[in-house]
Amino acid sequence: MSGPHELHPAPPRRAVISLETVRSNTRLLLDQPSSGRVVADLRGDAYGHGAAAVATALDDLQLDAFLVSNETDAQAVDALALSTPSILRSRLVPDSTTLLGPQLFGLDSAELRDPRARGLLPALTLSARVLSVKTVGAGEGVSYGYVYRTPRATTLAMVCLGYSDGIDRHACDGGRAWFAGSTHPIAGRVAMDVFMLDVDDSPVSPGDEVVLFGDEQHGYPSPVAWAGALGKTGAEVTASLGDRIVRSYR
Amino acid sequence: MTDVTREIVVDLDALRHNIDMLSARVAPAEVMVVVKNDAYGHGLLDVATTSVQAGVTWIGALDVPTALTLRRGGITPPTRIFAWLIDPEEDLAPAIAAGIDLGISTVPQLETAAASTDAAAARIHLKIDTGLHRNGATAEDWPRLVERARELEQRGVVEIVAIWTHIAEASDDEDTQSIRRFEAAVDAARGLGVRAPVRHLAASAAAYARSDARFDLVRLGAFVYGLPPGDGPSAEDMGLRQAMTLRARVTTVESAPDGRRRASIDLGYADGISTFAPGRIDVAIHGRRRPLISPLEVDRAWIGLDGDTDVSVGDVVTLWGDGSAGEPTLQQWGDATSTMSEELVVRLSPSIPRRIV
Repeated sequence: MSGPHELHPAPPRRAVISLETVRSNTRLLLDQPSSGRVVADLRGDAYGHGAAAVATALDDLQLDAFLVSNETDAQAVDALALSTPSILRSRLVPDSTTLLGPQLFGLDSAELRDPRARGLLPALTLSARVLSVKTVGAGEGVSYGYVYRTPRATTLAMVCLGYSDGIDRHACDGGRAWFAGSTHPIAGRVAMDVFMLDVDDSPVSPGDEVVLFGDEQHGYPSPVAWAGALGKTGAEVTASLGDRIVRSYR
Repeated sequence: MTDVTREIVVDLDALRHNIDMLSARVAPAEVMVVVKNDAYGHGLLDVATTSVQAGVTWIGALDVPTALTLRRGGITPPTRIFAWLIDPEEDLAPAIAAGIDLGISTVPQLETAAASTDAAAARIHLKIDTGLHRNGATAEDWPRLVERARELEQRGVVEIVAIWTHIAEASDDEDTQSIRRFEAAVDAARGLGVRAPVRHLAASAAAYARSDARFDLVRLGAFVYGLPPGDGPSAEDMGLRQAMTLRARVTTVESAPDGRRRASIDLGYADGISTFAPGRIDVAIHGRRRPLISPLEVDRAWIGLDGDTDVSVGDVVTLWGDGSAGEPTLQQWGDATSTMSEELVVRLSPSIPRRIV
C-alpha cells in the first residue's frame, strides 16, 4: 500500500475484476429472502475492487444504499450521479438492515466461510509478470533467511509482487501460485517488491504471467484458499492490496 | 493532530539524525538512501530531498517510474539515482536520457539498455548473484555478461559504473560466503578489463554490523527510517530514531455486546493495519497502554478500555512511534505480529493523511 498515484506502475501487476460476476453474485443474494433495507457494503474501496466501478455496476439492482468508509469515498460515489445513495456507517441501522459485503465479490468472511457453496464466485484475478528466470541446483537457499531450499535442480521465476503490494511475507509457508496450467510453491520469503516461484521444469520466460488467485474454474488458487493459508479471510486480502496493482474491469 | 481522524507524522529531524549517524559509521563508504515504496511510506520527495540536503549523493529508487518521478521532483545530477527492478518490456530510453543508473543482471537487459541510448552512454551496475537467488547473474553467466558489457562500453553505449549484489542475511557464515563470491566476481570483472567499479553489497543490517560488507557504497533503507530488525537491539540502543508516528482520534466510545467498554478508531485492515494485531499489541491513550481488541474491521479498529472512564471521542490514540507518548515502537509491532516493521509501514494506505514535521 504505497506510492503516490502519479507513479505509473511498471512492471505490471494486475487485478482484473469481473463486474458481471459481482452483478450475478448480487442477483443471487437478492433472490434470497431478507428483511428491512438491503445495503451493499462497499467499504475499504469495495474490499479493494473499486467502490466507484462497483457502485456503477450495481446501480440498477434495486439496492437501498451503498455503504462506504468515509466522506471522500462518499463524494466519489455521489459524483457518479447514481440512483442509489451512498451512506456512512453513522447512518446505518444495524437491526433493520441486511448488509451484503465480501460475499458480493465471492469472498469469505467471518459470517460466510464458503461462498462457492452458495454459488458465489470470486470476481478478482490477481496476476503479475515474471521479470527474470534462473536455473539453480538442488539444495540451494532462496531469498532472505534461506527458509526455502530447492528440493531438486529447478527453475526459479522472479515475479513482481511483494509485501508492499499486500502479499504477506509469510506467503511462502504453503502459498502456491498458478503458472502455465498448474500451481507451484512460492520459494522463500516474499520480499518487499518481488517473490520467487519454483516452477520446476516448466518452460518460463521473462514477460510470462503468474496468477496468485482467481476463479478456480480456471485452475487458479481461489482467494478463499489463498487467504486461508495465511490465516486470513479473502476480504482481508483483497482490501489490503496495494496501489501499484493496476485494476481493470471486464 | 488537527481536524483529521487519523494521520501519519514523519519527523525529518529523526531522518537527518539517522543519516548523519549511519554516514559516520560506514565511512569511508558512501551512502545510498533507498526510497522505494514511497520512501517506505514516509513520502518519496520529502525523504529524497532531505537526504540530498544532508549530503547523500546516491538515491535508490527501485524502478524507472520512481526514478523519473525523483528527477522531475528536483533530485538532479550530480545526485545519482539507481533503479534495479527492470521490466523486460520497459522502454529504458527516458531513464538513460535522465541519467538514471540501471541495475543489470542479464545480457538481454544489457542489450535493451545499449539499444536505448541516444547521446549519453547508459550508466549500468552489473549484478552478480552471490546466493540470494533472486536476480543477478550466476557465477557461470557472469563472464559472458561482463564481456558483453565491456564490448558495449568500448563502443561508448554503456558505462560500467558499478558491480553489486544483494545478500540473504541468513547467518554470518552464509553472508561471509556471499562476500567472498562477490570479491571473486569483482576480481573476474577487473580481469576482463572493468576499471575501478563502485562496489556495493550491503543493505542496512550488514552495513551497520560488518566493516567487511561495506565496500564503496551501502544501500540503506530500513535504518534510515529508524527501523531495526526484529528480536534484536532497539532503535534507541543502536543510536537510531524512528521517524514515523501513526495516530488516530477516538471516533466512538461504547459498551461492547459483552458489556466491556471499548473505543474505536478509523483505521482498519483496508488501511494496512495487520489482522494479526488485535490481542497482540497495546496502543497508547493519555500515555497509558490499552489493548487493540477484536474485531479488526475493514475500516475500524477497537481498543479495550477496561476501567478507564476518562477516554472520550476526539482523544488521540498513538498506535506506534518512538515511544515518547507511551506507545510501542514499530519494532515491537513487528515482533508482536510476526513480521518486520518494514511490512507494517509499506502496507499503510496512501489515503491516510501524512504530516511532515
